[in-house]
Amino acid sequence: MIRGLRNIAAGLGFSLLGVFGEGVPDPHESILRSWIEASSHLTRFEAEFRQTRHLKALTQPLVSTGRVWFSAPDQFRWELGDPPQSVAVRSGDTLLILSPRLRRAESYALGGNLTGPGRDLMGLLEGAFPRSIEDWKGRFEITAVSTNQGVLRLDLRPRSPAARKLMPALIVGLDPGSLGLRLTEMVMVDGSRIRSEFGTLRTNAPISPELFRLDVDPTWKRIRNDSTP
Amino acid sequence: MPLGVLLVVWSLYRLRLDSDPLSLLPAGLPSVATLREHQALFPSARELLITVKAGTPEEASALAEGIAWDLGRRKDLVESTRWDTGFRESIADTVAWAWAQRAPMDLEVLEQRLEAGRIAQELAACRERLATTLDPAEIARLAYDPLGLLDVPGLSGMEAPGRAQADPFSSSDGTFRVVSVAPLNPSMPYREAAVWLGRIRGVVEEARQRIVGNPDGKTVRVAFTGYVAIMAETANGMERDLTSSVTLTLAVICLLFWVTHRSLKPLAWLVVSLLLTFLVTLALGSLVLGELNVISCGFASVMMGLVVDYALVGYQEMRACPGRSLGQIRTAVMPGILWSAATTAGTFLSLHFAGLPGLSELGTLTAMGLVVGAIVTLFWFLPRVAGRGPARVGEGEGLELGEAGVPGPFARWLAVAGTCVLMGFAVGVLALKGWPRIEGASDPLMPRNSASQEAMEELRSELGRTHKTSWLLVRGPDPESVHARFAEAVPGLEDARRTGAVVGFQLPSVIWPLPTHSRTNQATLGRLGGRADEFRSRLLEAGYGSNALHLADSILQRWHRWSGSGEGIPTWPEGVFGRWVAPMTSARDRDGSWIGRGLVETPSNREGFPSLSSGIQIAGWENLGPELLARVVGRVRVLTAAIAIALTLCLWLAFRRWTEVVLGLGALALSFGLLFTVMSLTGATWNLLNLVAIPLILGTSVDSTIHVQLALRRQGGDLRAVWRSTGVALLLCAGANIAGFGSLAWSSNAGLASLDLVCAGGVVCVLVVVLLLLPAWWLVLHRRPKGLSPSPGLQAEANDLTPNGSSGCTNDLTPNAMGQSPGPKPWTMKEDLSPDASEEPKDLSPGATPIPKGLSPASKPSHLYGVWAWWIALQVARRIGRRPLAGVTRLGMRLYMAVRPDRLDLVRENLRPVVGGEASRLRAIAKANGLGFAEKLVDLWRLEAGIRSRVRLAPEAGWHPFREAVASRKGVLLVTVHLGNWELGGPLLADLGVRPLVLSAAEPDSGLTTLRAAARAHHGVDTLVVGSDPFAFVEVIRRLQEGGVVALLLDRPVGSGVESRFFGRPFMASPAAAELARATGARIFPMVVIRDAEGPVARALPEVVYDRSNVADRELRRTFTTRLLATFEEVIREHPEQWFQFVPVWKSGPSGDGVSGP
Repeated sequence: MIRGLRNIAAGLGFSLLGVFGEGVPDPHESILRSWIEASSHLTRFEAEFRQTRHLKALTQPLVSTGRVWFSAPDQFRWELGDPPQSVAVRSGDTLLILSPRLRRAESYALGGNLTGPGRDLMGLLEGAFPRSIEDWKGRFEITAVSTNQGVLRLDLRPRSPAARKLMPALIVGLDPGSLGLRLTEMVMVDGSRIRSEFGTLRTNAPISPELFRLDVDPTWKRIRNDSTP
Repeated sequence: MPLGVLLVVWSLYRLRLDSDPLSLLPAGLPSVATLREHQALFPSARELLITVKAGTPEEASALAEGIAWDLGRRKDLVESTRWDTGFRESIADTVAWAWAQRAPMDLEVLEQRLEAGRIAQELAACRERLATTLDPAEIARLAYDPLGLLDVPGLSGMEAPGRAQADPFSSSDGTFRVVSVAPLNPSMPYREAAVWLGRIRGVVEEARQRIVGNPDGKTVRVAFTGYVAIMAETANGMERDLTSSVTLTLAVICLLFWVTHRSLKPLAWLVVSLLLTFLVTLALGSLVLGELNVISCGFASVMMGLVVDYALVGYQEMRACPGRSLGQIRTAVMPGILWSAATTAGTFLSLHFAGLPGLSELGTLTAMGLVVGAIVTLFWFLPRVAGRGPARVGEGEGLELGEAGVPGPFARWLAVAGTCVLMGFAVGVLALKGWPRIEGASDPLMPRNSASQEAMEELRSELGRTHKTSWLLVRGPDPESVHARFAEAVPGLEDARRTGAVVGFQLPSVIWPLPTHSRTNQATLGRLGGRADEFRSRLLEAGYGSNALHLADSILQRWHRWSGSGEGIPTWPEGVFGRWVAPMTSARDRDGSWIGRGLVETPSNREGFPSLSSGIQIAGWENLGPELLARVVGRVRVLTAAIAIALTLCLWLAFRRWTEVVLGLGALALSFGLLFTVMSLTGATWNLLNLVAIPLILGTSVDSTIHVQLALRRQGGDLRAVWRSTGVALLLCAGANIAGFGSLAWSSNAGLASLDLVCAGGVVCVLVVVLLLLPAWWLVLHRRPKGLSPSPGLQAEANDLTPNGSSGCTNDLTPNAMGQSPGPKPWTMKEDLSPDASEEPKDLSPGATPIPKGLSPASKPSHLYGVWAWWIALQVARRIGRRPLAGVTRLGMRLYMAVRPDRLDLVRENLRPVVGGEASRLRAIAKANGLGFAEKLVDLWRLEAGIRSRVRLAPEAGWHPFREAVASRKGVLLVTVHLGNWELGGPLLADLGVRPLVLSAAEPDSGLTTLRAAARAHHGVDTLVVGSDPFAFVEVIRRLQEGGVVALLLDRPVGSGVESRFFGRPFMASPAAAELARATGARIFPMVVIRDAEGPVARALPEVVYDRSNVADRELRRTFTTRLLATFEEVIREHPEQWFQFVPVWKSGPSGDGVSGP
């Protein structure tokens, strides 16, 4: 049960992963190429978002707000909660997940010989920032494309069985005109859904490098996973 | 015969093959003992593992579940099946139980956290964390376990550090699944296991067809591994190996035989003999060893390759000497075959010291096979091929000595230059590429090209077990002590992990039962269980749905039940997981003690086990290599050194020349150098098993160097003749040996195959060096101005050792061989006195006597007659009583007579004129003579060891004149014959106040001469060692002229003696007594010491009165010698069983020069 349950929230916080991706069956090839083309012009990205967690174990959804920063090619920062309760920072080959209230920092080495959940997590992250259409198509496929309430909706399915064990489906909402990111929604194995809606989007504006620093308060508990430096 | 057949059939019927790979390992090693213990205690070690690889996780899961379900219903085949741990289904059972095993303090913390006043705050914090955490696992846990009951302290330790994949039944992507199957009979023998496995395969295939439904099976792959599959595959593979290697060896042998002899019937008998040898050996192995290890079955082809040599030797002898009877042929070849069998068997028996039980059994079986093969050849094969087929003169025996086969200087030096080039090449290759590497892994003990092994490798890879896995066993009288030892092990394991010696480890500490904690915690758990309704309402208030309540409800219900019903807390978790985890992590020994099992992973590039605290046993197949290798290397070193020393000794005994000994050792050294070079070039390596090839090659190849050098001696360096006789024979024998070893190169056991490949390669290298290079070396070192001329004496000597034993047709066994002795020469002390004057049992040890060249082996000194053997005999005689010593000696004599029947034939021929020609009587007296000699030896050893036997004086008239003659000091010549205990006469004379001088020949070695002279001196007897020194005779005359007493023996024939008559036959007697009589006029007294029922008794025969004019010339002395001999005829006829003559005594056969018997 534990394994099944913990898969529910896999990929939580990484709902952007489909936003910058590409790939697809032939009927949707043109949309995908347009999306990748639009994403390729995106060197910096900053947004606020509202995340709603519809968990099957709870009678009411949990709502929180957060912010996200991205800087090509391999830096991003994700904060959830106000003040932030969880922070994920990627810089180069290192991903750091901070829990300020618990005074805990978990670090992952990207590109290392990770196995299990760590490997899946990193795979999803890399999928969010594709280098090419082939990379993205190796990770996802588009199962449906529709337009609803002014949003271009792409229904995605992870190709990796391991990834599907965490998240059977992913929905990405794009602006029909600019193909900019509007929302993501992860569907978990137990039916729980985590929806992030983005607002106040700023693109290619300067971002302080301080946001991507990996410094950790030495008094915090630090957990290294595998070959983390 | 029928009884023997029945015995063989019965033994073969009860033959059982041990197919357990663990039986190959030395039981004395601690890690092996732990492995055995592990296998005996943990049933999972004997399970069958079925692996399923599918395109999707769903497909793999469905098929694995279906297979487990179908097999689980086959109660006639299977005890149980499992395709996952059952943890998901049993999570409430497991967590409820795990809390009960925690320290009471942990329960207090839990109870405080769930206090009524704090629970609302706890649930609020939980919701906030749920809304913001990025950890998927945490979301799942907080959503379905808001009370935090899954936070059992230490439970996260179930996943080992560094282990990403903790599910033992599934790969991380779920496309690979494992189904474990516990057989109904886990100890079934391998044939039954093969049948069982076949039935299991049938059930699995049906399940696959039903569930997957693709008959071509392209997307789904099912494989079988685990103990049962590996054992069945190994054992059945070995059975196939045995059949194919025996067939191949037989085919090669048949081919070689046919090419050489082109005769069908002997070939058929040869094949039957080899098969008979094989069956009898297998039956003997079954009787002696009980259960045979499968690897030891490799003996068959090795044995056949060696045993066929014996048959070839016998058959070749038969063809070379067509006129000789079966008995003569057998007598001729028997010593060689038996000695060869004994020495080679000894070499194979030395495998006992290699430290690997499988090889020990192989060595024992091969040794038994060699002995059986020798007997079958001599007593079954030879009688059946006797007289068959025409003899081919010219295959060795008809060689013309001195043919133009001696190579010129250019050819010799060319060969030597070739040697240098070869050595340079070997040195260069070894310098550049290095010596063949020694592999430390235990892989050679496992089968190769094995589907079950490949499946195991895939399983390890798919489950992320990229490191070496070892088991860690901890023992204790109760669960608490085992748990404490696990805790003690953790710091050491953590240290090892930090240093890289350990990659990860799993200890069952968190799921280990602690009954004392359970009893203490029962009340707390009961209180918490009783608050289930309260917790439910609190959770609903906090916004949790019914989904979130399920786990907590289940756990609280169990706690409540355990505390209220009186059934108590179970030892292990209830549910599926509990039933799986208990036998996986724990076992109970017969004495009731508890054993806990953990798992340690070590880096794949690191050998050996990490060192842990005492009391913790660790073992694993993958890490056994270094420990085993250290043991085997140590043993092989000692073994090789011992065999090298023994071989040097053998070479010395064979050659008696250091140059040839050095050449022999050099040839072996170069052969090994070549073997190493070939191995280095081909990338072959030494491993646990093929290291043993070193002593094995040494032991089986040394005779090649002996045969070639002796053939060179015999043929005077004529290479053509050497090749036609010894060379061809060696080639045939080596071919058979190579076939025997090489046929196992395709064995399914990697180690056995490598061992046999190295052995076969070694034999080839030895053959190349010995046949192509050694003769050139020999010729360079033995150059003579006009070339070498073959020596008849050397030829006779070498005939004994020639592998086919036929060249030259060993007619040295015939009495005519005496005629090959050198012609008459001027008389010297050595020739005339030494053999006769010797007091020792020269019959079996006439090494010091001047044996004419060309005498038969029976006429040569026994190799047993040397200083060390004699010294040991004296030591033994000094320490044990006469009766046990006599018993052992008689037994030894019986064996000797069985091994050397030619000696017994010779005794019969010597006794024929004495007792008549009745065959049965002759046989009986000859046997009694041999046993009597054993008694005589015992008396002699005891005498020389300082223990005097009482010798009675017979009441005869001769004593008085003897005393008178001694008192007159005019010199007394005591003459005697090899009758009874003549050596006891010397000390007897000393007792009578006489200090006699005994004339003795030099012994086979100077140490023995000194030893024996000292022993006589101890008893007041002087010794004069006579030889070629002419002044020795002067000393004897001086002694007699001074009134001394000199003793000598009369009845040993001397080639250059005077032809006298003895028992009516011509007899080449020593004229020494007559010459001394002529020179000194000493009085001559015949005397004998014989043994009757009461012990030794000395008899003084009537004085031989003479006038010096009667010995004035040679003819008179011949007559006088005949008269002297005649005085002993009557007493010898009275005691023929005590007339110890073990060399031919009659000039040209028992009937003399055509003179009829008396």
